[in-house]
Amino acid sequence: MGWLVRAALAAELTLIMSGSSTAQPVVVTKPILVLPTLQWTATASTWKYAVLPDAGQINALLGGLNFGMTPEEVGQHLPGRSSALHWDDLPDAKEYSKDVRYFWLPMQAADRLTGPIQSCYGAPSSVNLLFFNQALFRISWRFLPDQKCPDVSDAAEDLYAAFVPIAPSVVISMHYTNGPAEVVDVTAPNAGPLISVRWQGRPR
Amino acid sequence: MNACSVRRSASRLLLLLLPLLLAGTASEGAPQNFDLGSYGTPSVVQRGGRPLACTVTYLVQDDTTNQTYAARMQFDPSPDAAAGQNGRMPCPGMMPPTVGQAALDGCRSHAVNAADCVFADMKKGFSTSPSVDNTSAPGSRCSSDQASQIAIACWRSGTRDVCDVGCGEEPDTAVQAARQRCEATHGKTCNITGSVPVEAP
Repeated sequence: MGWLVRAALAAELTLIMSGSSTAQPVVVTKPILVLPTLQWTATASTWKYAVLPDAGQINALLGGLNFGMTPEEVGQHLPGRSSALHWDDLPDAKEYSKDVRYFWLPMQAADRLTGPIQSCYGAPSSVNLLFFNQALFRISWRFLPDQKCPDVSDAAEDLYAAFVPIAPSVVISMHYTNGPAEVVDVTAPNAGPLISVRWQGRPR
Repeated sequence: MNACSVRRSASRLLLLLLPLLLAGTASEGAPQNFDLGSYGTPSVVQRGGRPLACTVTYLVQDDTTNQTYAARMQFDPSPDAAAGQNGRMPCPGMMPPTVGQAALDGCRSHAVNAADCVFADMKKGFSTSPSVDNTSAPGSRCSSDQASQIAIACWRSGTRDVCDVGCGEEPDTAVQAARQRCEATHGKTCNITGSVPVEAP
């Protein structure tokens, strides 16, 4: 919640500079994320999504990747890969009780997967691609700070805000923190019990 | 006590009980038919030849992450739909609880724990007893026939944003309404604010 910290500091500064304890604190803008609009029947008994998901927009947000792709297919979409990705070569993602494997790349090298991110993120930030049954089921953006970018919350918010308007029947998006890391997970809706698993590893 | 004062007392009692009676009806969960004559006869409002629907927007909040979500609910106009005096499509006078629950579900689909999702209009005791029971569904929504903007105003209680909701024609007036409600309810300076349009762009 970097905006809040900055605003609190600004408020503190205002008080110090004014030399008065009666100075009004500054107003802090709170972001509001917009969920997909629901279209209700006249009896308000059932609803459907008012707008159908835009496949092109989702494809762009996922950098051309699709859930269900094999490691080999994913590898073909990643920039600068000299060797193919194979399930057997992938390390285990230990936060899962099932046989989930992953591949990661530095966020700075994942141009096609960082489109909505306008704010800064630290060099240790990464994009993690998670596979179950040899199929891609989750993309996990892990934003980490460094000296140049000590607060990555705005970058995570940029990305998350782009996924929230998409119906959870298409992609399930979540935003949480893990120590200094801000995590945005985007998961296939058919991933079952894997959906609720959060990254608990130590930031790299 | 004469007959006149008895009638006056009875009228006052009825006025006091009316919201409870209406709330009781709404909480039964039976689907309401919004085309019923009790909601009046609206006239058609069109944008580009398309009749405009009523939109009711809720603000809901993940109490763990402090993320606020706007959940827009759109209601189709009936075939003979007509606008009210302000030129807007009338919205249902009463909202079934299922609609508010759908707003909460929108938050829950992004939450680590479903119980973390609450309505953004919070009662006085929320900071010490944070649960959805200490929030208000009707207070957390604005209707497009009454307002163009919905706003939130909060104060920070430890790591938690404690908030209330307001409606208005402009972002400033909606924020002002939310701030007044928040500051009156909680007795704090509610300087964390935000707003969005009630209707989808």
